[in-house]
Amino acid sequence: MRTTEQLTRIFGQEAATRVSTARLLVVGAGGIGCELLKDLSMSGFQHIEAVDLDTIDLSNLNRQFLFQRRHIKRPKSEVAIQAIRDFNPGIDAHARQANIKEPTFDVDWFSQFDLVLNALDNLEARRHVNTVCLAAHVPLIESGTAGYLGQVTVIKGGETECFECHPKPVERKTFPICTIRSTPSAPIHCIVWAKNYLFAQLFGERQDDEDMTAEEDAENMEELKQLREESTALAKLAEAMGSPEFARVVFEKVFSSDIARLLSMADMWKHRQPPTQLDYDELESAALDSDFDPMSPGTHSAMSLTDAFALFKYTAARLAQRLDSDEQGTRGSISFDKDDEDALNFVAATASLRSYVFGIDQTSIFETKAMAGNIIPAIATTNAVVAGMMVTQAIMVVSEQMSRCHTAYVSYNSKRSRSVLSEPLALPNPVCAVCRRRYLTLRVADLSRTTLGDVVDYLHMLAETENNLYLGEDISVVEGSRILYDLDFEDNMEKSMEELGLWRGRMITVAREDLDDVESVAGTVPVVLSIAGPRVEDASQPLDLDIEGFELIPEFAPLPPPTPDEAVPNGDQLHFADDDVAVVVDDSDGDEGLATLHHVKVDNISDELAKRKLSDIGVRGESSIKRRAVATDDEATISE
Amino acid sequence: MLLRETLQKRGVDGAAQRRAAHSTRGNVVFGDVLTESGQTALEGARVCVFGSTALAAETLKNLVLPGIGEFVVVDDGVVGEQDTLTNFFVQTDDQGKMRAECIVQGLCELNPDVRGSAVTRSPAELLASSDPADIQLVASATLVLACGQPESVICALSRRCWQAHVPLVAADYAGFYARVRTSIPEHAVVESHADTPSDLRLLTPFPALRNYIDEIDLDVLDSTDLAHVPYPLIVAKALKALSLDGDAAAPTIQQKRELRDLIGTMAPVPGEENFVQAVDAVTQHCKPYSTPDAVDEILNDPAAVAPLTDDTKVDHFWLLVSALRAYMLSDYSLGMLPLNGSIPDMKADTKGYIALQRIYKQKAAEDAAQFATHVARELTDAGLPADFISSDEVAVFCRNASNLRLLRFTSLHDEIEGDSLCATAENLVVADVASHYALFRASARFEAVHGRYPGVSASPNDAEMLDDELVASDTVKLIGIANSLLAEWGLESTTVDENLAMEFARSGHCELHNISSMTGGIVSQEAIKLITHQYVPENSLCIVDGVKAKSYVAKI
Repeated sequence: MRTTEQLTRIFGQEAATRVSTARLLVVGAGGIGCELLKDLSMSGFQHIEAVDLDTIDLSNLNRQFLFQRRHIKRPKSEVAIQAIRDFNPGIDAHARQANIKEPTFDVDWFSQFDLVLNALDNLEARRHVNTVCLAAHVPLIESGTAGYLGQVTVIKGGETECFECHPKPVERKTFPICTIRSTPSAPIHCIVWAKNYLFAQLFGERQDDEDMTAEEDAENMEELKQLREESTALAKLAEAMGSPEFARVVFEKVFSSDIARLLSMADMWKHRQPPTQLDYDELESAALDSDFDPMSPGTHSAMSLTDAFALFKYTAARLAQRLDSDEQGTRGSISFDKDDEDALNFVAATASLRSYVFGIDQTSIFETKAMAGNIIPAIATTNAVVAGMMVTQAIMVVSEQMSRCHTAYVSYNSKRSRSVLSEPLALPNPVCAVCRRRYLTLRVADLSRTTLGDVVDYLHMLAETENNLYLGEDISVVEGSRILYDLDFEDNMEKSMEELGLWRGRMITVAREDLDDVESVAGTVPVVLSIAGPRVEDASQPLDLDIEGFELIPEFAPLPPPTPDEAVPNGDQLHFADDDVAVVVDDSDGDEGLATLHHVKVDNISDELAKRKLSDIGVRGESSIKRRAVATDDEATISE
Repeated sequence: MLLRETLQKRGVDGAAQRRAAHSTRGNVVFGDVLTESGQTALEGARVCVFGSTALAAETLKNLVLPGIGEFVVVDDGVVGEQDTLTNFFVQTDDQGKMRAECIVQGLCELNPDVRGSAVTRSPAELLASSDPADIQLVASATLVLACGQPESVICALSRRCWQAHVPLVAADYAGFYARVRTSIPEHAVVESHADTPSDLRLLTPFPALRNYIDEIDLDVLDSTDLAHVPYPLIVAKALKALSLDGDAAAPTIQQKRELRDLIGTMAPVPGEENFVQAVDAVTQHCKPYSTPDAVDEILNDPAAVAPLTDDTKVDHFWLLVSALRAYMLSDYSLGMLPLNGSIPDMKADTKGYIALQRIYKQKAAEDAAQFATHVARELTDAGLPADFISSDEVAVFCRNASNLRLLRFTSLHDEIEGDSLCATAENLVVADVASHYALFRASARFEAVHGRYPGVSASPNDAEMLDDELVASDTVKLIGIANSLLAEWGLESTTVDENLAMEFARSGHCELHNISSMTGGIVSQEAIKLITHQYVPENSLCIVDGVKAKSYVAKI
């Protein structure tokens, strides 16, 4: 059945059986997700659940090969799983269109899986899944790609480095379409809108939607109608190009009437600051009094509203004129290039105007250039390599061969030719605030009846009877940065969990307060309680309160050193040389969660010196540096 | 609903998708990774693929999605049960059909903009044919891929590609291992996207820069203005103060230390950001000009030094290199490559930054104009029309003058049938892939002798059954062949890793979908680099170890 024969040949019967019985959760059904779901289903995995919040967008079709145009606006998870099911009629595969951060996906829900695979594109969700997997004691395979770079690693609480053992850059690379089109909240959202939507639609290659009627059906009629309306409106704008009113027409659509339409959806602005419409005539007269010269705008400071307006007006005319003079009759197109001043300034100006509309911080042209140039598209080849590696790691994890798992990087560097690098899984950072915690489950039958005081009393009771819980008398209880309880703060004791918003799925942290340096005392790391309902089998006779898991938590034993690969004895050791160190740089302006590997041949150098060497080869910025033994390399040797 | 049907439905809206692909492809897929010329090259490419198993299909998938122009799959294989299990583009009910046709149909439906066709003939037979159409099939391709082909086919293909200067990428698999190798006589890259450090020429400023530096007097600036002076100016002033500028001699370590100290004292307040940047810049920017080694080699390559031959005359790259050489020898250049005009990000006020940028841009424009006159002269001398190379291409070349790369490969047919390995086999040992590589070659030789791969039962009925005795005896044979191959290459002291040999035999040369998907990602990435002449392709053997999630490279 399926590829079981091959797996049996290579890994033995037991591993093959585990592959076919393991229950997998795939979070994300986008670029990596499509490849991953295909690879998993073609590699003998039989039980797969996929969760993705997004719906399919036009721009996904070029690499997310399980999707087609008629699927636009349908849930990614559903369409991807349907394709996998169509191909493997016997497979037990399910889809959910949902945000993985929803409380429904609590510790109990995660616990039903043998392995979770992250194929996500945003840091926030990746962090969340990392934490829940730690709490649910489920291994996680983490992945990320950006352009030609990619990374895969395996996370198992207490045994390996977790997603947050080292700081990650905060910037995201891809965004939900509604954030970009309707509810931007950060400068990057406005830049993406200006570059990938407005600029592309006005000056990019023209798109003809006449064929879209072909696949119309009742189900997607509404979506298609909206899409068509948008396209028509933009086509009209493009027609105005060449007319002196071009800038006005564009401006009034995107900064006045579109904003008015958004404002009319009152629900959207209940919890958000509503946008402000801009007025063309008002700004035009204000701009007359300004000595701002749109031909040489200042690139380093943020623009004022009138400057942004003047620059918009100027560059819109310039770009329209360029298209006009390019060709007669048929309109040409301009693709965004950060080194094309008109294009960059247009994007900077419109992003700036949009930032004013939504009350978002302004960025300078310089920063816009960096951000716009940094929007690295995902590409099919890297996704294929990364997903392929994830599946190998998945086979190792479910067949309990953790020591054979690796962290792998797909890299591209013109100076060195090697595309896939790997290293043994690293040990957890001993002071990691996420994985160096004891994760226990707090089962509460009725959250409206149980008070925080009940929980604190229960913890005190447990601290007396259960030595290995290591909780003393003096404890604090917090949820994130919110203090719920400590010795001097008992206001919440009478409030029910429900009143405090401590729903199922939330996590509270309990820490000892009677020690100065908690981390230094063995076993005294804070305890994180995941709030859950009663166990299903206990449902008939629910306990009021129960904490489970503490007796199961292993000591934080270090991961045993990778055993020499029995099948392949000429393993990693042979590549190691003591004076060879790879410096892993988490570039702060780099791609999400993606560590870049830079190799510096060094003898016992300090981090400072390593940073200097890296800066010599062009790696800049605040970088955290880790050292790893790595394959000897005769190239790219750097000497002072 | 089977995938085929899914894909057919995709075909219904082909035209719409084509437009969607068109508008999204250029701008979104590779728009920020490849420049426009690369995208155009991709759309005009014709790729010829020998083989039609999962590795071929997965590689093609990654080429069809971004939109190569056309592909042809050559294979006479018939879909068997194994194919339906490992090849995503083959269905259970395709059994008995021509596999090449099945994958072409599935792949075409991914992107109706791409033309695909199948030639259902045996690769060996097609390569033996002297029919001009068969010869052209390979010779006129932009790129040829050989996926899981026997050595005899690879050698025949390599000879033909080598002669026609068509890049060939050969890839095959054995269980969790795969190997990839590119072969083409020579491959030039202009847009290498290399991170060459910016060239500020602070030690030897050109006249306009010299004047600008002299015009500015840091002593009259107040502390606010001082905090916004671009760091190159600070470094230049410090160099001048220590009389280190205009001198071709490199400052000594001692002098660099003095420079850093001096810059430190010049700061209005200690730790002012632009002065910190200036201190940091000393190492990189206070050294004499030198042409990057890779470019130097190209400029001194026999093909650049010797008068243009008929071959090089039609080759844009060599014509441009020849012009660059003339430029470098001219009095104007002072032996320095044309400036590309970009300056790095730095702390500065807008006015100062723009003034500095303008000076470098101006110089870059002058250099480019000078270079263009050399190109024009080369073209005239070669008897070619002035527009033989477009001004855009000249400009791109000029801008990338310090990023040029030239790769020369050994041929696959020399590697397999000739003795080129004797000179390079040591690299296999250094890269620790001697065993992997020897076992791939030994498996091929085993197959040539026994008519089956190691670990595969000769009797078709139990082909899928794992027979421990068979594996054990095949392992012994495989080790014997591999060790004799190693000795042939002059690696007498290296013996093959016996456990790895057993893994090869156990795998029965099977194809695993995820390994082929991963390898297909690597092969298609190399293919895109070769087709677009952007980024630097691997000039080496690449062994993929799926178990370790690692690829090894060894130059052979």
